[in-house]
Amino acid sequence: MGLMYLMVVVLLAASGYSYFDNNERRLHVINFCAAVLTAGCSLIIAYLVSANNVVLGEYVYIDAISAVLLLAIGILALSGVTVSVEYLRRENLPVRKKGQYYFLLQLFILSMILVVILDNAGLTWVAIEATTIVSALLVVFHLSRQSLEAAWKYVIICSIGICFALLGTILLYYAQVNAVGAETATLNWQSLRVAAPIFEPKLAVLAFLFILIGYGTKAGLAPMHTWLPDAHSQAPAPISALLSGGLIATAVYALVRNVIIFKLVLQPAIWQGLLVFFSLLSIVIVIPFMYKQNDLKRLLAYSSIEHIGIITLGLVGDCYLAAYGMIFHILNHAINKSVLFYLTGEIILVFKTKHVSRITQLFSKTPKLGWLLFLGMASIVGLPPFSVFFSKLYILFGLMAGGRYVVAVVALLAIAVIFMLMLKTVMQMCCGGIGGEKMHSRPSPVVIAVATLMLLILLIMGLILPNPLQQLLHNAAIIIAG
Amino acid sequence: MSILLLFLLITVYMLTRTINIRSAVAIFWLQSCTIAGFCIVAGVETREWHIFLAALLTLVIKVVWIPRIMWRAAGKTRVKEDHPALGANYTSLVFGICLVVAYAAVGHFLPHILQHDVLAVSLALFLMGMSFIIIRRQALMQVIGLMTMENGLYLLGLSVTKGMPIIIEFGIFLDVLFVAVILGFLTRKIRTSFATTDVGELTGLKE
Repeated sequence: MGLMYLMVVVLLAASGYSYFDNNERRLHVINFCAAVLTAGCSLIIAYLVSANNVVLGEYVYIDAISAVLLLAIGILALSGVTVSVEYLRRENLPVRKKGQYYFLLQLFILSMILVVILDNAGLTWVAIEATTIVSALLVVFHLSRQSLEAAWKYVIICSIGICFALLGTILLYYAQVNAVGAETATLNWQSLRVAAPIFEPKLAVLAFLFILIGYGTKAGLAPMHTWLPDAHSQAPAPISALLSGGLIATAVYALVRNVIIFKLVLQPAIWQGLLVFFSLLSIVIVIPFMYKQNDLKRLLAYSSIEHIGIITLGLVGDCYLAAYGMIFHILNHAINKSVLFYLTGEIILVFKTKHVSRITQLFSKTPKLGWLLFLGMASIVGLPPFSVFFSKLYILFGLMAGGRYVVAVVALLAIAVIFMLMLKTVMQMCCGGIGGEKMHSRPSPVVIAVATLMLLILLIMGLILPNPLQQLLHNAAIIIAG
Repeated sequence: MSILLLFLLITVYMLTRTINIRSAVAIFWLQSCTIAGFCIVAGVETREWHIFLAALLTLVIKVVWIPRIMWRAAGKTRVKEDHPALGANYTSLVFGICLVVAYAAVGHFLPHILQHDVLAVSLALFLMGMSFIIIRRQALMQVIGLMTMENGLYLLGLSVTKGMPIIIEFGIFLDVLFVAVILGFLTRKIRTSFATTDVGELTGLKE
């Protein structure tokens, strides 16, 4: 509990400090230290939760699901701030602007952490809306025309989406008030779960529909995904990593919490049918956009939409194996996608282009960057022995175990097509083509080190899953599968 | 109560007719005043202090602060009028459809509820706000659409559950305020770099 408060206070202090300080060196050091503390706290909390119990407070509730998300956000915070230090050091910007960047970045990390630790459907909604507000300012950080357009789309579409989620949450509250009376209805996740079986079913259908559309918009589920490729491709590289790895995972978290409640009252045909529709559409719809996609960051953004679809398929499975795969996949995707965005940011800086066709012969021009990008891509499309392969496998097995063969086969086919498209693109960049851009600078050793470490984590999680982590994932899967 | 509801519907109808940005802001201000009035009436009826607190927050944030931001932003733009994708008559028709859909939805899903009209009107406000964002092209008009959606939700929360728990209510108010501030900021930046606030012309990002 104390660690929780420490983490919140550290993040608040670092963000407030960054806003006022004028010494660039000190800014980098302080923010890096804050990130180390945040990551350390989240690691310890995850360990404590895996050991036995849950962390409880008046408004705070951390069980295994929150702990996994917290772990992912902790890793992203540390790597994201480290890469940001490198990124800002080489940007020619006034110190004040860099301070504002850190101010927003720390608030962004804080808002994501609040989403996963708050014990209340309403407060979680508030925290998710806060992530939109802060991250929109980070997307427009460079104030270019494209980023303004992306941010406008992002705020308007996500605000509409989040209004839907609020409508759903109000109806949920109404259902709870009807079920247990106004005095005891508090929208706590725990009390909701207890009261769920006596909700009025028709009201629950309506509430679930609105909540699914709302948080689905924020998570980037098709067909509400149109803001995602723009926002994720226009943001600065470290921010893209946090958006793709962390932000959409927190929206999925809110969805998961709600599904745990609604599946106690709704017919399986209704909630599973809706989820199947949205997740399969997300996986399939990206294929034409990924085919011949010439913008590297947009390619990765579309891949995020696909992975969100895979994660929500894990919810559809509604059994232990699928739930285990899903929560594992959230963690894997957060780490893997952020690595790819860090590397992409570095490639864009080195070659001064983000067009896939202009980037050639990475293996011979800059072998380290080339190999890391290749391995990262191989991991995200699901090549063993990286852990992403296993989490995808568990989800598909879980679907088949639940008798959903058609869904599993369609998903598998789409994943195979995306596998080919992404590997083709990365092979072209790494060893194909002639000419292309010259290197304008050398890649930063810090970013290469961060990427190597994170890929190693994925490799280790694929080969030998550490015992506490396995326990954590096991507990989370039990909570989700019921 | 019913008179306030009627008045709300009239403000939304007026929104569909106007293309002048300043008058749209003024109409939005009237709408927020009505919502605040609703809040005070609900407070008097239930005699609960937290509803009065919510009324105070509504007055400060939705009646004073947000319209002020929008009024100023509207004053700075050279463009005073919107050229929407749909004409005023069709927009009014969309409003009519939203109202019918809202009543039908409430009748179908919540047949036994007491506050039938309030619920339907708030849902209509929600749907109309969303259509407004789709139809209108000026940045500020879209913000007004978003705030109309939010007003609808607020009315819904107030009528069916006598307000959410106070800490959640407070968080929602804060979020709405920040969204308005940020959209105002973005509008200003879009005006300086695109020399227009017609967001229909923002078409740089495509496949």
